[in-house]
Amino acid sequence: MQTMTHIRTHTIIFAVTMFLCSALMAQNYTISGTVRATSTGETLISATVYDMLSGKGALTNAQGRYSLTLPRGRVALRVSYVGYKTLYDTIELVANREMNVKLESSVQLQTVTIRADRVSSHRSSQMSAIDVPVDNIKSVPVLFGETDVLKALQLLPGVQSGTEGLSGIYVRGGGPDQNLFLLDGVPLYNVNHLGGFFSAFNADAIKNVTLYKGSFPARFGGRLSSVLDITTNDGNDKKIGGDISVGVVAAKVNLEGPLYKDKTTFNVSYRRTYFDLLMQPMIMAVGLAEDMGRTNMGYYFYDLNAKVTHRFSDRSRLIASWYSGDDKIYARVKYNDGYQSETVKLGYNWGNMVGSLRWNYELSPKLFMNITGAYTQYRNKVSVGYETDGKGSDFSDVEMSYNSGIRDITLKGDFDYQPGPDHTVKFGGAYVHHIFQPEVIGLKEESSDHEYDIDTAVGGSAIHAEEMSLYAEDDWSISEAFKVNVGVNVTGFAVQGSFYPSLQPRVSGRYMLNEDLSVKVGYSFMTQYMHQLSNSSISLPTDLWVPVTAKIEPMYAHQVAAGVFYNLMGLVDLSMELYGKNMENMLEYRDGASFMGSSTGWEEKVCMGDGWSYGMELLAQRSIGQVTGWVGYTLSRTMRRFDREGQKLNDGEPFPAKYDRRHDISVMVSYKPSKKFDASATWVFSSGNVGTLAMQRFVDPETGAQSSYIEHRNNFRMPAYHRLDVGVNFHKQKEHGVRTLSISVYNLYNRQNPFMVYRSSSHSYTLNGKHYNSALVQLSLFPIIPSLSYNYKF
Amino acid sequence: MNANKYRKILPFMRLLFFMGLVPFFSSCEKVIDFDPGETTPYVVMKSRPTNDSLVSVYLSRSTFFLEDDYYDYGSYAGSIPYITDASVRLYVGSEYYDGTLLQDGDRKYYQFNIRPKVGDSLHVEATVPGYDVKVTAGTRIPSMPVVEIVDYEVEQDEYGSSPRFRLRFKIKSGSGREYYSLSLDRSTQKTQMDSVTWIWDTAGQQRVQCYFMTDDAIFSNTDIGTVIDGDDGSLYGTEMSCSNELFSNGEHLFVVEFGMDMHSYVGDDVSDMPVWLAVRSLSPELYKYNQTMQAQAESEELLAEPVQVICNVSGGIGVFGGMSQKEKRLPVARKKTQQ
Repeated sequence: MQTMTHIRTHTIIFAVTMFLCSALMAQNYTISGTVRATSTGETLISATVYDMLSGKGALTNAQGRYSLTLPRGRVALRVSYVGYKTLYDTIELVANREMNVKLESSVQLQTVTIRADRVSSHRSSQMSAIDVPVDNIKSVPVLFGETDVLKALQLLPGVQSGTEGLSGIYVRGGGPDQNLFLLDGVPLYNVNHLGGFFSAFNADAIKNVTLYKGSFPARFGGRLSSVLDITTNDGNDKKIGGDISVGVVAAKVNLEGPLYKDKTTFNVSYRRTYFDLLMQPMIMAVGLAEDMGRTNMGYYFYDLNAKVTHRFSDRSRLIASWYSGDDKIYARVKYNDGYQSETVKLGYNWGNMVGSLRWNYELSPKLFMNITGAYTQYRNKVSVGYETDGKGSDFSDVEMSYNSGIRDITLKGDFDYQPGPDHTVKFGGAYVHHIFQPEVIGLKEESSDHEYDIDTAVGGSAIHAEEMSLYAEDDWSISEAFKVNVGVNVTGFAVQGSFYPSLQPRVSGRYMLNEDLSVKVGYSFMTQYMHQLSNSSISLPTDLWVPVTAKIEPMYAHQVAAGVFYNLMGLVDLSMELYGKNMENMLEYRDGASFMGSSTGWEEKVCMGDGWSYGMELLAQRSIGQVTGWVGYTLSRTMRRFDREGQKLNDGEPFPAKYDRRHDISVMVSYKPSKKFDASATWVFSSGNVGTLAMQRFVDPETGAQSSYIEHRNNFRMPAYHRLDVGVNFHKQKEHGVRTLSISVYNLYNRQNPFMVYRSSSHSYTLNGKHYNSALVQLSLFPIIPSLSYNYKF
Repeated sequence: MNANKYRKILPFMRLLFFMGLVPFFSSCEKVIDFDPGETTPYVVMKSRPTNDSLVSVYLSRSTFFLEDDYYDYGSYAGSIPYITDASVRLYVGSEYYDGTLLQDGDRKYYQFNIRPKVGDSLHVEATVPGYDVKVTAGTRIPSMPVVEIVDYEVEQDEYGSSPRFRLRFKIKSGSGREYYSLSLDRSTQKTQMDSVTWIWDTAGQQRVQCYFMTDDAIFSNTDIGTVIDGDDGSLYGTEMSCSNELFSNGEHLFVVEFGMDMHSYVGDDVSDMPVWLAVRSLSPELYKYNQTMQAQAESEELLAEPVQVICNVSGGIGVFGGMSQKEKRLPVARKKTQQ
């Protein structure tokens, strides 16, 4: 019934939208083309192409293409992009014309100050979205000096980190599974390395990062809380070049260049940690000294990004992309008594693999097409094995494993249509075949006599599901002051004989009160057909991705947002956004449930409930000049309520979500006085995380059973979190490139931030004059940590 | 890369690595200041008023979590901080009764001279010296469970040494949500106790462990085969609780099975050792309390979600939850044991 009401409401909104769109056709000519960087030939995303006479403009799409339809006559074009010199050109528009533009980097122009005539966020109809320049991401000082996209995003208002050091993000009260991570348009399921200490995105391979926190454009769907749209570099079409970096924990190499000049380019990035390689001699020595036998253990992760782009013509490109990233923990201890050897093996292995093939084609100056075929896989495996090998031919090998994973096969088409100067229409559709493999336990046994050989698997069988979606959106300039983005996303999910349809309207609007001041409002309805089951705050390889089923319903979220945006003298963007979000059918583990050691299936371990979040976000951002950066503040409240019969948590009463934080402040400052030197600093402050702590213990006076009394779930708030990080980079021009030496200090004033809190009887405490032989103790992870890294760019 | 360059880079990489190790060895503990709110012990109330039985109310105190673990006694009641100076009043409908403090071994409780009937609404109020707020709670005696024995048998194994007892019985449910607890015991006789009718094994030195076996999903989250014997101190009570979630307005078949060679020597003069099946209808508050106490006791896994014990006592913690009980005696001849 509720679904029918949704459908009726959304159909009306959709019909009105389409009617308004029909009134757009007029006799005009179209200028279209690609905007690229001169030095590398990279296409530039969201560059502005603007006619200063008519006041009409367009942004380049994800492929760097623009299309601008204007009346016949004189056109004064201004093409601009952050960090590049603005290009001005005047033409006489008498017919449709192709006009490719190349912009020169302002850094290469020997200018110290980065200047750009950019479209300030206050002019866009889109709200709750932030473009984060990759240079800014790279300049944020981080843990172990490892540049990290997600940690940089955690500094933005409305985006919260999880526990200290972890790279998961929590956007406007949503869970970590409610973020859609798109790598070149293809979803990535696991974005964490080392339990979340590093993200899977190698900044050297990235061209553009855009985060949507709300008012989602209709082209995005499938998650409730955010979309992180990441585009990787195509590769330099002029010359072979690259970067080599060596840091505290990892080394990286990035290589790019033309395979066939002006036609085919490549970009390959590889990153690997080397804990295991450097520790191996020490581990072997300790193993032998402790009589443990020959010991081989370690941990590493790697990322490999590869992309090949072939340009058939200015109108047609074929792009093949590949990403694979794996984490591996391994241990192998071998004992040998001279007669028989015994080997104990342990392995944790998890990772993603994404491959895609895309074809961009300009069907006409006004219509651009992007067809994508993709394969995504996320899997994890935990295995334990025991092997004996006697003299002669006697041997036995036993291995138990726990596997889970998800595979997607995707086919989608996206179209950009520019019917006139006042409309930018996007439409398309996608089909995804999902194969979920939630929990499979494998047993393999082999011995020399083969009498008891086993090779079997038990557990949940694969769940196949089909997901379909169609969308249409129009970015419509109704007047000079009033602009809206309206659209609808229609999806359906078929699984286990059930079909879940969803009609999701999206609308956002901007009204310019004057040249520098605008107000915006937005509404979006989102549906999510899959859940990630996570027990703790740490992302573990055993986290399960599970689909909706006949029992588990899709998650829904309604979000409204309103904001005021002000551009102060062209120097600083100021914004204030208010948001409210209501989420339905969220999953949590039941009290006492754990993903480990239970004979019951995952559906029996979880319960379903609702949540809501509301708050205010303030942002002051300066992107121009020697000193850039931002100051962000978030005031928010996030609650959960699980009150359905048989699925209650906290006895059905509302309780704060795990990452409910009242205050979040972030300050990021970057200073670039010369080409040889730059420095940056970040300071973050946030209210402490909440957790559940039993403040009283009691014994059932009738039975003697002992118990802890928890007044309500998440009843305890940890101490506040704050930290200052600083970093400096020294650049030096060498014969074949630029050498950069980076020094950063994480947690400069050595604040002991809480990682976890527990009762300890090893400490004492005095409270209100009373002495206790126990105390509440926090464990801190990271004290002050200096880091050093070396980069050579050629 | 030639060997010389490699030799230069290696020490640099080692330096970087040891810098990376620093934080892993320098993580630290620190006592934190916090505002716990109330540190005064809560009044703990426990009562399970049962139809046609005298009502007992137990009162004790909780302890602040930083207090020493002085009450680490399992089922040993000697150190439970019973409250013996309270004024406790029980309301049944519009009438009220004052409680009298009694002692049974180490256990102390307030008893009321009233045997409530099915459907009665009960309300209890306790005034405890040192506490400003009265401790109150209410409940209702639920209707009697409808139980039907389908059949039972003693099945010998091929050696005749390990006979197994198998019982099938049905519970018929009403249309609303109903809650039950089931317990099973094998004993020589039933003893009428002061407050509650219990199945009581006066002959055996240990009670027989029994298992409820069903593959119905309704019980899957209680871990099929829950031991209903209470010898293990980590378990709460001797009962298995369930609801009629899947057989509302219908009936459900239960199968019980246990080995009969587990009881100890009780003397050759005992010829009959029946199995007692007790089915209790529980009030919602008692069911929730039992379930969450059980879940917390069983939750030992490091990464398991914390379990909150659900209470219905205002001004304190614990439970005041009614129940009604039906018992079935199933005669089983006893095989004489060898000394």
